[in-house]
Amino acid sequence: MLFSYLIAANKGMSFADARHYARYALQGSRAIPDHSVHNTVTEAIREYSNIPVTFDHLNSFVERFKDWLGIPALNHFDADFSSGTTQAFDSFYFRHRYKKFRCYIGEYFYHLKNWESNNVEWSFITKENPLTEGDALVLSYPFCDTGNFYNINVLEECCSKNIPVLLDMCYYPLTNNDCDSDFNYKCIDTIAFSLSKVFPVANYRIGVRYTNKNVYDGQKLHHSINYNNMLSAFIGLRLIDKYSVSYIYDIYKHKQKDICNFFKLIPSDSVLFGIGDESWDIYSRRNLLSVYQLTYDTSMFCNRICLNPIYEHWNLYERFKNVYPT
Amino acid sequence: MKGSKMYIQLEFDEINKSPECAVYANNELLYTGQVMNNINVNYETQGSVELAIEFTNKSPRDTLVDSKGIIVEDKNFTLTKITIDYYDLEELVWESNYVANDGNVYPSCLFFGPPGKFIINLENPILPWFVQKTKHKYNGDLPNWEEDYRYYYTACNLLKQI
Repeated sequence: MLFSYLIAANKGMSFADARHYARYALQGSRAIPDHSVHNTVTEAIREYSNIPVTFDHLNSFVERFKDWLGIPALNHFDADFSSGTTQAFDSFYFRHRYKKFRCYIGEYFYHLKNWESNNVEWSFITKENPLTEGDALVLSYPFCDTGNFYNINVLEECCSKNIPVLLDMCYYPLTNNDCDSDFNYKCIDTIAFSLSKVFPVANYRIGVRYTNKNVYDGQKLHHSINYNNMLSAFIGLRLIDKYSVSYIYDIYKHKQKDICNFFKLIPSDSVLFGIGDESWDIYSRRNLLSVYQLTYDTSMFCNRICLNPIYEHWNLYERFKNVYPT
Repeated sequence: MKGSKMYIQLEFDEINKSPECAVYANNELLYTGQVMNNINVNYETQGSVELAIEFTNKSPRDTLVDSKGIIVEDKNFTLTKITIDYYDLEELVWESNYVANDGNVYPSCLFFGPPGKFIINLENPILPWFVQKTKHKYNGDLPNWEEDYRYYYTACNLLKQI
């Protein structure tokens, strides 16, 4: 908390503004505002305005994306452009609207918000309330609550129970990519990726969706007729051409370790996060739940600490470390 | 009494016919002279502070009325803003009284018409008082603002060291 206030004080904020900043600073999952990436985005926008626009850029982005990710198993799926992972989620919800949606506690609140506000049948997966036939599963991998990889053997159960699965892999480019990426499961309906968490381009809505080959929905139709955001795809293309999928991870993994060691956090598999114990309850999901207008007990969720503000104020952090005892 | 320093910024408007004032904190004279758009003073104390602004040069001759008794010209001025240590008191400025020399008390009056004294009671340091008074308007009614203030205070001091 003190370091959040230090950032605020360093920005010259009044107490009221500092208090607001400090309470929100280490929450959420905003991408690291890497300067090089930012410059590349700016150059891409400039370039886009000076070249003939063709659909080749859009298609090249989608085609090259799986090579960029380095997940050969994605060859078994159809790829199409997605406005972030969100468009893929919405398409999945609609396709399986007559099923009961399921997720683990700690899953992305966007799902809960949509299901609750649209009176869709859904529930958390618990020991007392396991998966059953007629369900549709949403699974973030790495897991939204921690940014960690985990054993996804639940996919075998989903195959046996004919449960369609959406894999949300938006945090994947924030990791060392060391995970079970076989994905050879017939239950997998959708695998969604986005650049929003790894690069500061969330507002351009850049993502790719992989679907089972028997899916031909509105999103796929739009992709087939090039009815997508060309500028976003162009920026995405320039980013994946210039940076490896582990670019952010490679730069920040040592910093993540340093911060987690200093603040006694557990490093997440996703370089954006550290996991805090109860002494970090101030950075629970309270604020996020409030924004989503959801009323869950914050103790249900991990204290997932977003390290982004510390990366952004690295010099201040180093000076702070030198004078402040742990 | 020695304590921490308060930086008091007063802003005035609609200043008519060269009024003069005296500014006091706990009866200690901090300024005397012409009313200007901005008057800035320092005061050093700890705890309660009675800030007073006295209208010092008003006399009956300053008020001109027409044959119907309607005021056509007058010496007066209006207080528009009080800022303490760069915190604008905003609506808290209305938690004040104007005590006229004839004994009348006008609550929440920022207009210096009759000769008298504007009085507002504050605390130094101003921030805890300000936050308490404004009911944490920036952050809802979150508890433990005192603890947050300690973090802020510590951070500000730490910033000077690093």
